[in-house]
Amino acid sequence: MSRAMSGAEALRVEDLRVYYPLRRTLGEVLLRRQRFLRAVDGVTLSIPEGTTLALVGESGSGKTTVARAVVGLVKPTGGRVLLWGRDVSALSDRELKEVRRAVQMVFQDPSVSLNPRMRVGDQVKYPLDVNRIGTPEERRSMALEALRTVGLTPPEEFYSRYPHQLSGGQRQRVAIARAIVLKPRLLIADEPISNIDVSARAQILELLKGLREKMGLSMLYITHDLSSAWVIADTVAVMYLGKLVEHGPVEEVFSNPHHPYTKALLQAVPSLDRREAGSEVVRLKGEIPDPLNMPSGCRLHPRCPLATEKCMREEPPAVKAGENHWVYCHLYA
Amino acid sequence: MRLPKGFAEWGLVVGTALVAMFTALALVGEALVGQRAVSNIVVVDGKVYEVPPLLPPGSSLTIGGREFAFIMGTDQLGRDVFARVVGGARFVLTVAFLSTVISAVVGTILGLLSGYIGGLFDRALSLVMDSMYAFPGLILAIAIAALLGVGVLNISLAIAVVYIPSYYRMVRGVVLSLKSAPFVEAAVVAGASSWSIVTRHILPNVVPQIVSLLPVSFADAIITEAGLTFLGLGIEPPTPDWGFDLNKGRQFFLAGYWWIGVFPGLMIILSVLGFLLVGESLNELLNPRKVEA
Amino acid sequence: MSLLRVQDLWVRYRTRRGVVEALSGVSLSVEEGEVLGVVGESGSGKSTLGLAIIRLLPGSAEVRGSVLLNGKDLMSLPEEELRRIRGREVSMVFQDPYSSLNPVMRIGDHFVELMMEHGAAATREEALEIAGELLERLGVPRSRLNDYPHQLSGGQRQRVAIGLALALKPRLVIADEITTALDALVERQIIDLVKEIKREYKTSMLFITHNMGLVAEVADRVAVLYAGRLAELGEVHEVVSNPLHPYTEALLRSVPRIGGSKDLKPIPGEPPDMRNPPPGCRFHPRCPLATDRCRRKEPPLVERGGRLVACHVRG
Repeated sequence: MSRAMSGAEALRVEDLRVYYPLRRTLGEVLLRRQRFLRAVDGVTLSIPEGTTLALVGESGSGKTTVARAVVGLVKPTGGRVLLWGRDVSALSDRELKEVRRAVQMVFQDPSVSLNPRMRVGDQVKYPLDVNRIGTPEERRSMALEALRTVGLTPPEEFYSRYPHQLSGGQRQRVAIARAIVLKPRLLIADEPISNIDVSARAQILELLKGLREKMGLSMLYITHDLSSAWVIADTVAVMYLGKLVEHGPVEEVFSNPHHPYTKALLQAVPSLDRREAGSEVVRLKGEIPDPLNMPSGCRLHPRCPLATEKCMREEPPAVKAGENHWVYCHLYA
Repeated sequence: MRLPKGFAEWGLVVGTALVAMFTALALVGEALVGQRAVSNIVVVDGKVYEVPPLLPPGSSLTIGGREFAFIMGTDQLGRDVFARVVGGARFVLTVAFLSTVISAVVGTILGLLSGYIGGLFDRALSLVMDSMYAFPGLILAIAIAALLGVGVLNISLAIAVVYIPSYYRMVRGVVLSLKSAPFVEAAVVAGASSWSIVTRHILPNVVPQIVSLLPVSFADAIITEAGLTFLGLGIEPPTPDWGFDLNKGRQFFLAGYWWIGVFPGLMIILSVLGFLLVGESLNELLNPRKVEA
Repeated sequence: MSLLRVQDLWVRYRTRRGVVEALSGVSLSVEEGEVLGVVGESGSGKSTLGLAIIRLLPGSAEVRGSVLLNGKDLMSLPEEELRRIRGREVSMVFQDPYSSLNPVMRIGDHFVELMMEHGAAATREEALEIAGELLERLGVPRSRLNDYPHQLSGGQRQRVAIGLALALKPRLVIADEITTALDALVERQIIDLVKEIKREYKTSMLFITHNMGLVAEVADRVAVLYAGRLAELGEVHEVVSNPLHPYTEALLRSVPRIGGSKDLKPIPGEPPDMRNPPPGCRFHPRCPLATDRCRRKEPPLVERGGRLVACHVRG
């Protein structure tokens, strides 16, 4: 099911690179050498307007860094970020501010993404204050409306409380209210349910889905949990050590995974009925390597049971695996 | 209202009582005792009398038909020690108050700027502050007081300089940890300016720390002030002052005239105790060290 | 006789903001060679249960009830006897692979200290030999014995923690959310390892987690805790496929599953404030089947078709 409304793309990321310079040893300083941590190393993906892309990966995959680059918390080292077709690096400060207003973020842990010393209502109202939208009375009612929209009713009661007086699930709702009060068009959700109790997770997921419908949002959903990606996303992109390994429609990729890493991830999910996705069991050796010592060629090769010599030498090309379904692996080239 | 429970609550009650008493003394004391603190001349019915020096505590004298009590005795110049002790409160506490306020304000502003701006500015300022912090406080205060000379403002400045680094370091530390806090990032994503972030997010989270440091630094200031005046810096006789009187009293102690120095010394101890109790108890109550389940 | 028998366990914590009743009369048992899963969310008391059994609760905790390990009541034992029992007869693996190891001690030394303290090895060399073999069995190269914890990966640290828990061949191992802090693929490795240990060593286990899927893979029976009380206890596949307690049912329905429905049915309401839990059945404010009786009276634990369930409506 595709929810794309127009042909327009809310977000397009082209060959995005985010490199962090590492502290140099004396030798490196003398030799004028600089090593980098390649957190994101050439990622291209897009989100058609009105759809949701789940960016999936484990630690060190770079998924959070991609989110932060999109929202402007981190400056890309290379590549382009296009919001509604406009290259953010080519915009003036004023234009950039306007565009950025339409992109808001929900962070992972609501106990630290909310200011502990600010009332809930003031925090939800804050983005309006900062952008000088409306009169103070209007701002207050917009904040109340946002609280009502996320299910914190009666909103007046929640308005005057402090975060520590709320449960984890309620705090995340406040964070979501804060993110939608500016009526954004693109919502970045960075692992929004990882730090929430199991029984509250479904509430948050359904809330996000509902908001998406109501507000016509496009969404970038970052997670390490494939099951939540299944429930909320239209397309999924799997990342490993800064690179994409597979992406496509979520039903496609999850029922017909191609990349060994995707297969391993799907099989790793503890399930009530042990259904193995794909015919063979794929078990990867070892663990995620130190990102400072990035493997050559295909980043997965030291752990991949199907690795060949080519995998060690060359980076895998993009191979079409189905309708809008792409995999980066030599096995299919 | 219930009775205080536990060390922290009792400490707060006792400390606040002491602080209140000293504040009252500082505010109204001098008005009450007036001239008797600075001179031994007493006027009764138009006739001028001199109060004898070195009267022991508890003495009372009938001068010109009126009864004068000297509950703490008189000093070597015939001045009422009790009056000096009360009058000294004003000087000492004013200096302590001024210096605490100055160091808190300056230290906080510098800490905020340093922590938030970072970079070379931060590195340079930290270096300066760390050097000041490492330098023995009293000696630094002595040096500055000697430079600036006497007067309430001068001695306050001298003491303030010593404590600026404490506030600076604390505020800077909080700012650094908050700079990367997710709720600050959320503010950035919402489009907040640096000013907005500093005033609405960082400052409110810094204030509780500052507040908990204030009483302790106040107590510190009292001691430093006493130290400076003990050495004769920053004050011009005959202004009553505990530290100065403590020094004078020292000279007369061995001769048996203990009350000249002991009473001012006691005041120093009690006032410092009061502020420390308030500070530590407040800290314990607001930031309990007991582990919560 | 069951290997572990917990009877009417009550645990209360004294906090600044009130008294929290973490466990309110929980009874369960673990048989020889079986894995009992304990499922619950935060506030359910599941971690408190594990800590209470091994007597590692903080001093501010008030504990009542009995914990019988092989007939011996752990609650009444003096500290020195407990010290002998911990590690030897019952051991624990914690969630955080970073904190269960001493950062300034080599891996090998952890084993040496443990084994020589309990007399399981006479010399350092003997202890290291046994440790090396054990680590290899658990998938950690023997050479790691010389390393410090920070030199190991998260998964390896957890394997070492498991190794330490197994080193003295205890009868019961308590595993408290041992995979929660790990990445997905490493979690899978540890789960497979746990299943292998279960097969080979036949160690009994109390497997604490919030993840129903995990419990279904690893455990034989499962105990579902809610707000400090036992809601349901039975054979894991039966409970999972045919839950009796409304909470279990709601929980299973609210968890996303790949290939399943994309419309989740969330549990309404919020988890209870454990300083002031709801009267009667603690789940009643969120239960679609709640009756007046549920609001007033605590439901007794009854047997229903080979299972234990505490519910007025379903029990």
